[in-house]
Parts: sequence; structure tokens; C-alpha cells
Amino acid sequence: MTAIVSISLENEMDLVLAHKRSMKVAERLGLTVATQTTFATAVSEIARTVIEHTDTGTLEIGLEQHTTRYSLVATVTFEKEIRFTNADAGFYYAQKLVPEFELSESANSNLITMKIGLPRSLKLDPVKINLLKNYFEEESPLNAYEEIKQRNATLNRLATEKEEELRQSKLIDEKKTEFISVASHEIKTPLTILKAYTQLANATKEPVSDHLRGLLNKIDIQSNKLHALVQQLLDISKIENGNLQYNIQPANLNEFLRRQIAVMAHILPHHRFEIILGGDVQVLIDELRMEQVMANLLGNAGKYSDKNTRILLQTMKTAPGSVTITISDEGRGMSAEVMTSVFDKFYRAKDVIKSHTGLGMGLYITSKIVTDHQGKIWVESEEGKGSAFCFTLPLVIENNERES
Amino acid sequence: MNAKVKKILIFDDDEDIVSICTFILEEDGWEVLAYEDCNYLSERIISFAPNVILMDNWIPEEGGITATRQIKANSSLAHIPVIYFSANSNIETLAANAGADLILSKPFDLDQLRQITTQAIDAR
Repeated sequence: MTAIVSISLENEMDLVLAHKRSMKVAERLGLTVATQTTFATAVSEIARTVIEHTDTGTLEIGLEQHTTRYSLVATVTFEKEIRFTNADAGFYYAQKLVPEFELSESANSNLITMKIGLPRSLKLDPVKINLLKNYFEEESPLNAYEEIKQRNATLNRLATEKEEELRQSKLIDEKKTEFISVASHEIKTPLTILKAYTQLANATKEPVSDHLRGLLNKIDIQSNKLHALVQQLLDISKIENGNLQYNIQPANLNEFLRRQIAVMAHILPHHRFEIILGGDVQVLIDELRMEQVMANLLGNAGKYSDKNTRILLQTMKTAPGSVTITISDEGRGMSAEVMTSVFDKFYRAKDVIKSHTGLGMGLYITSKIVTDHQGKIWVESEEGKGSAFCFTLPLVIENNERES
Repeated sequence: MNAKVKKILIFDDDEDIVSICTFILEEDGWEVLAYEDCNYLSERIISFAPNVILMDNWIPEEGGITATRQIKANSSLAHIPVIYFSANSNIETLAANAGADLILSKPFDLDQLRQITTQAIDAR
């Protein structure tokens, strides 16, 4: 059978559709009004009987070819548990209306088939049937109910597609995270050995020339860098898995920041560090993770600015219950476009990809750590003048006051 | 047993790691024995009678967790401190699962190795 129309039989409103569509198909075929009505009545009687028992029936109206003649066919499928007898008025009545009526049972469903032979004078052929099919496909909804029904079907299909897409992308994401985790582990093992041999060579009692010692130190520095990168990759996979854990303790903010500056001043000896700290406060932080944040922000300030420029660290109590920490540089700054993406994972601004090495992990991890501390992070910047990275941390005292 | 001799038994299948650890620990006055798998576990431990055990997470056949559990389940071995040794990022969880006493995450500094082994023997 070539199906022309298909209608799901869910409720009484579908009866109207079934009737109208049957009429319309018969009419478009050029059948007499009497035949149109007979066919439509038979179809809607069966549809009504099915709807009385279930809301999962399906009606299809189409055409079937027997050698040179065509038949108009309506089929209704429904659950195999449902059995009709002649006590079902509609079932009984419909059999009287159409010349061919058949009830067949298969493994999964029951099927009622009704057929009316069509006169040769209609001169049906595959081309005409196709046109008819297209006509019904493109026809606008009969009423508001059908319109809603069609929209519903479209939405359902879209929702299913989206769900599938989502499932796929989650799967890929999980695989990627797992890969990062395994790869970092595999990289760490040879790194361990490399570091250890370097240290052994450095500690040997045999005479080592200054030149050789310098080379060994370089190997050591580079393997430490590699280790830090692997550690960042691992952090990212932990963030993705939701496994980044914190050991939050109250800490003295100013003291903590001074320690960070002292460390970074060693690493960035060609920059001028300036500190303007507000009144001392207690903050709730995981010191190790917050050290990572400071190393990243101060390191970036140094990385993206020229030698002999200033890096300024400021703190200020802004909103009640929190303190804002600002790290400003006098470096290259960034465009508004870069500012919107700078905290994204693996993001690297186009203009620094060639000039500055990096994997785009630092600020992503930093922003994650800050937000996990219930803080906010943002950037203020002007191209060519410098950038200021600001973040907030919750204070201890206010928290206690609120609790008591 | 001579009270001054401190003995450490290493279970790790990485030749280089074993050679580095052996070098450092012997320099530190340890008597070192290493196996690259954990077969005949209790027999080997009983015959060497180590003061400290260094156990890698990925040791053939059964792995460090099972091996450490076997040690800790054996009343004649349970007192020997086990240092859990891994490049895995969740080494704390693994060590806790295994019932190990201390952890040494890879990569490590040679000083860390010296420290943790000393700590293990002092803790007894």
C-alpha cells in the first residue's frame, strides 16, 4: 500500500480528523459523494471503536494496486490484547459498509483492513498517486487540534534528536576526560624517572663541571614545568568529573598574599611588585589551591607585560562579607572580545598564540577555584594599557556573625 | 636481627624507579630488596623481614591494593608500615582503600623519598 495519510488515534478529536481526512482522500480521488461518505463512515466507526479501547492506535489511508486496478485502503493497527466482537457496534457496522473487511492478528498487533475497489475510469497511476501524497503532506492543518498535534509531533522529534545529541556529546566528553586522566598518569611515570636521574646526577660525588651542572639544572627546571602542566591537565579532568576537592580553612589574607608575592618576585625578577593591602581580614580558603590562583594571575601579569613594568596587588573590602583582590599589570591588555572568553577552557587569544606559549588551562582552573570558594572573578582591561584581574573571597567574621 | 640494620622491601615493576630508589636508600644506610611482582608475597616478606615496605599501585599480578590488604590482613606482617607509591592522581583514596600507612606520589623528589622512609621507620 502507498500511504497517503497517517493519523494517530489518541482521543475523540482524532475521530474528527479521521472522518475529514477520509472524506478528503475519497474526494480528491474523484469518488462520488455517496462513496466518500460510506468510506469515511466506515473509517470513523472503526477509529471510534479503537479509541474506546486504547490511545495507541494508528490509522493509515492509502492506495493499493491489484494488477491494473487500484483499491482505496484504510488500515487501523492497535494492541494485540484488544479483541473486537460483533457486540462492538462500530466494528459490526463498519463491516457492512465496505466491500472488503479483514481483521488479522500478528505477533505484535492486530490489524483491520478495509478496501474499496476503484473504477478504472479514475485513471490512477503512480504519478497521480504521488501528487496526491504530496498534496496531503503539504496541506495545512484541518483545525487547531491537528495543528497542535503536528507541532507536538515535531517537538517530540526535535526533543528526541536533542537528547541523542546530548547523550553523544556527554559520551565523548567522558572519554576525553578519561583520556586526559590516563595520559597524565602515563606521562608522570617517565617524568618521575627523568627528575630522579637529574637529581642523582646533580648529587653525585664525582666531579661535575659548572657547565654540566648548569645543564642539569635546566633539565630539572624543564621537568618541573612539564610536571606542572601535567598537574593542570589532571586538575581539568578532576574539574570535569566534579572531583576537585578542597580543604577550606580560615586564613589571614594579607599574610597569605605577602607570601605569594615573595615567591613570585623570585620567579619574575624583572618586574616591580607593588602591594596596597586593605585592613587585614580572615578568609576561608584552601591555601594550596589559592596559591595556584595567585601563581596563575601573577604569572600571567608577568607573562603578558614587558620587563621593568609594575605589577600591582591590591585588596579592598567591597561588598559586605567579602574582599576583592586585584592584580593589575601594565602589559598588552586585551580586546573586549578576548575578555569575554579569557576564562574559557583551552581558550587562547589569537594575537598571543604565536608569541606566548600556553595551553589555555590556567585561567579556566583559576576561575573554577575562585567560584568553588563562593567568589567571583572578572577582568578589566584596555588594549595596550594593561589588564586587571579581580576576584572576591568570602570573609570569615561576617559568616560567623550571620550564623550566630 | 641487628637493630642498626634498617631494611626496606620494594614492590615495583619499573626498573628505573627501583634502581633510583635502591641507589638513594642504600646511600641512606638501608638494606634494599626489590621485586617486580607481588607473587609469594608473605613468604618473601617473612624471609627478608623488612622494617618498611614500598608498594607500587600497578604491580603485577594482583596490584598494590590487593597486596597491601593481604599484608594488613596477616597478623604477623600487619605491623610493617606500607608506603603506597603511585603516579595516580587519587593516590590518597587508593592508599586508604588498601589500608597503607603512608603515601609517596610520583613524581617525587629524592628528598621526599628519604623523608618518607625515615618517617615510616620512626613511626613504628
